[in-house]
Amino acid sequence: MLTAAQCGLVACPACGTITRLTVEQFQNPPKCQLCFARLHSRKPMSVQRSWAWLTAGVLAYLPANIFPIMITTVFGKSEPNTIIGGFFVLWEMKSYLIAIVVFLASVVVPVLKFLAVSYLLISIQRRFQHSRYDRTRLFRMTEFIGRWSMIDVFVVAILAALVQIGSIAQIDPGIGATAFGATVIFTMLSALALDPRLLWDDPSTATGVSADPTAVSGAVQVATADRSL
Amino acid sequence: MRQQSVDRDGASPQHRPVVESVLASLVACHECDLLHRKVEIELGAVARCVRCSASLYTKKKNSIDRALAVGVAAVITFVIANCFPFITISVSGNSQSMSIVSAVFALSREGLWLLALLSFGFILLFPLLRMAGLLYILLPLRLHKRLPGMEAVFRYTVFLSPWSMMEIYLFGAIVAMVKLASMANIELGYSFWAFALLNVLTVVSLQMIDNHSLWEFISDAKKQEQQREREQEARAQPTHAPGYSHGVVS
Repeated sequence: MLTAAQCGLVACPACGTITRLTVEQFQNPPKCQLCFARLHSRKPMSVQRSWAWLTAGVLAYLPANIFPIMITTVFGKSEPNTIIGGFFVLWEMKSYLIAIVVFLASVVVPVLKFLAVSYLLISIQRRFQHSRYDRTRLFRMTEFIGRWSMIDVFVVAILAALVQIGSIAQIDPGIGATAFGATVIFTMLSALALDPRLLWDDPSTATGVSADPTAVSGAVQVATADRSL
Repeated sequence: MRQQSVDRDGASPQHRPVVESVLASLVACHECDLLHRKVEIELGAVARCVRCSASLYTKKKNSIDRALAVGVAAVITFVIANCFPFITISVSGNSQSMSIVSAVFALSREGLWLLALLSFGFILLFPLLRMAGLLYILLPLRLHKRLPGMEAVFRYTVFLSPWSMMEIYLFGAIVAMVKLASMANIELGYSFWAFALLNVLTVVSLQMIDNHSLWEFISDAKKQEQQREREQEARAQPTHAPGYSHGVVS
């Protein structure tokens, strides 16, 4: 089992083209020959940047829950709706499936994402050696599901666009929607900043040895073909 | 041997093409950095990382043709989806309809400019740029031509993909309609169906070709062009070009 970094190689973060780097070039990498993206073996400042975005996301989640995400006006009577309030309204309407979807997207997913990214970051900082495969899967799930929280913002936007019926009913977006959108965007950036390769890096076999690729290729794993998509 | 390989340009002229071909035969897992030797796989198969099982590359039949066909269909559907009403509701004789972009205006109405701007990107601008970017790559590849900046365009196209949120917007519309179902009559416009189809096409287009294969096509096209340029330069040299005088006469 050899990683690209152990062989003195780096895969372009954009196009995947393999480039051979000297020890000095690992510190200050050149651009990719094919696509001109700045090369890096690991995302620079990955853990710090990921923590920073995550903190911003948690901070934005507080106003997202305190301030109304929309204001409903029926026959001149205004009523602010918070995130959790929207779930209760749907539940009382007996739309259980949609209520659960909204609850998952606006409460469960953001909170689980805070916890998951924190756990992954701590596991990198503490150099956990166990369950690397499971942590990689956790990372993939976090990355995939985070965007779906944006559904709440779009629901507010669509309702505000549709319900403009003169004096009968009107729905307006509230400042909480911006805060919630910020939470989703910040946590997405947090997951994008996190480099999953750090989950697999052993401190003992770090980068730097610029081996001869012709000699290396014999020791390299052959990819497994999988018929099932 | 070791001494040569440490210095990139110190490798002997005979050694360098060998090194280059070996590097081209390797692929590093984008999630755990494990090095793999690329092997031929069956049509329809996926090559996976042996350590973390991330997908490395796939092999598809007529991938560029199919991706191009779906891509053109997606752009047409995108235009249709933005030309008609999306949803119409009516309450006791009063009706109100919206198009896809209305949601963006509704957010800006109450002064949520930043959120409106971002939503405009997520549901309209980024998806469109992504589709256009893909066509900008696929069309020249299909015609064996090269357009300027293909590599950069594809890089930004991949970069945009997590920020394209059309499918989330579609589900948002469904949730919004369920919320209104008990108090208003809801009518789905042509846009809604076009938009739903657009989402299906987007999923299908992702199945047609993977990024790794596309980068390989782009890399091959670039190498071919460099080869042609070298040949042209060689032909332009009057002393060592046997076919040169013939070329001028004809």
